[in-house]
Amino acid sequence: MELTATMVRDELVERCKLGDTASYETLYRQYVKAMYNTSLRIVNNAADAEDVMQEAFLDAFRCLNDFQYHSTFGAWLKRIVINKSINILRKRKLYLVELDKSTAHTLMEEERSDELELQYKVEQVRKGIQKLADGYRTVLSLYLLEGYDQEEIAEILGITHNTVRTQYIRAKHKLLLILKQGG
Amino acid sequence: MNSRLEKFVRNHRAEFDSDEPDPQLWKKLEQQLHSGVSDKKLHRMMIIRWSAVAAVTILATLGVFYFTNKPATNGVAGNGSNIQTNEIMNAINPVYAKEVYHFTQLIELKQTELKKIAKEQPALYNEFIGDITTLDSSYNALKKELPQNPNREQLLEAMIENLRLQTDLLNHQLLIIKKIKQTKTISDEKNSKSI
Repeated sequence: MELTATMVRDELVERCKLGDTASYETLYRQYVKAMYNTSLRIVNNAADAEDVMQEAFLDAFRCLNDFQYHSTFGAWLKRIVINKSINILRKRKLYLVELDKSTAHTLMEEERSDELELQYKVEQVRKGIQKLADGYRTVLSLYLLEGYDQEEIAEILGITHNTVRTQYIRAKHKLLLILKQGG
Repeated sequence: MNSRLEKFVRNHRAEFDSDEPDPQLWKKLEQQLHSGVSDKKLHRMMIIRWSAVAAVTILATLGVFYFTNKPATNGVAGNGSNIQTNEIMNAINPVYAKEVYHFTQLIELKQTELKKIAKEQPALYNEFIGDITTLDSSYNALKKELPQNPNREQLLEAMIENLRLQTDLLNHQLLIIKKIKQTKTISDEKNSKSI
């Protein structure tokens, strides 16, 4: 299977590029909810997520001519949202702690046994994610919910592939622990 | 890493996006979209530039007006009776009277048009109105002098000339407003297209 180099042109995006003001609002309404939730999972508070929305949409609208369909508009916008959200975390001094491989290995074993006992509910999982520390929550959200692979996450966060892997395992372990304790 | 948690999230992905952003967010965004800082600066610069052009035009026209009409206003003083100006003008020259009527109508129309910018550009509007008022008060002085001036026809000509200047000035002001609006929309468009 071969992927086409450029995506199909988005008519709404094209209308915005031509300066059609009404299309800006339509585009905003189409994407704001998903983008807001993506940002909220990283920054973990409504005020910051709303700031991110304002900045991200403004940047996207103003740089619309730079968008050349190397990805979908949604994917392009999501990267802007995620970068801005992570910048907010950086201001809060986020540190991604390196773990050695042996610890990661043990955690993986533990996690398997933990999981069998759990019946998941969306609300519980959502609340559980919110309780994670900034670094864990970010890696877990990017992988589990935003669908980036580990290499992409490594690039987004500027950390090694291995760190992403170990961080994810620890984050997931912590989440399962929270869920097991009843949220 | 393909475990139960991953599968569960994948199957319920849409339910995880359940938070709603503030409905007022678009309004705030829209405001920012239309009033970038660079745009504001550009806009202010345009107003200053065009105000300067307007001021020079006013001074020049007032100067011309003052020198060309001075002899006409050097009339003999008499007692100021309050006779209807229209009747006098009609008596002096019906064609001139019609012209005065035509110009005053035109001026009224243009002033209503000018009033529309009072809210958007109060500073500019006040300046424009100030310029018109200067001309208008000299018109009224001429009008007051009309009944007792021996050279009535010449005075009436001066009045018409004054009205013509007022019309020209209003036209000029409206053109300035149009140009400012144009630059604003162009820079707005530029802003929304690129940084």
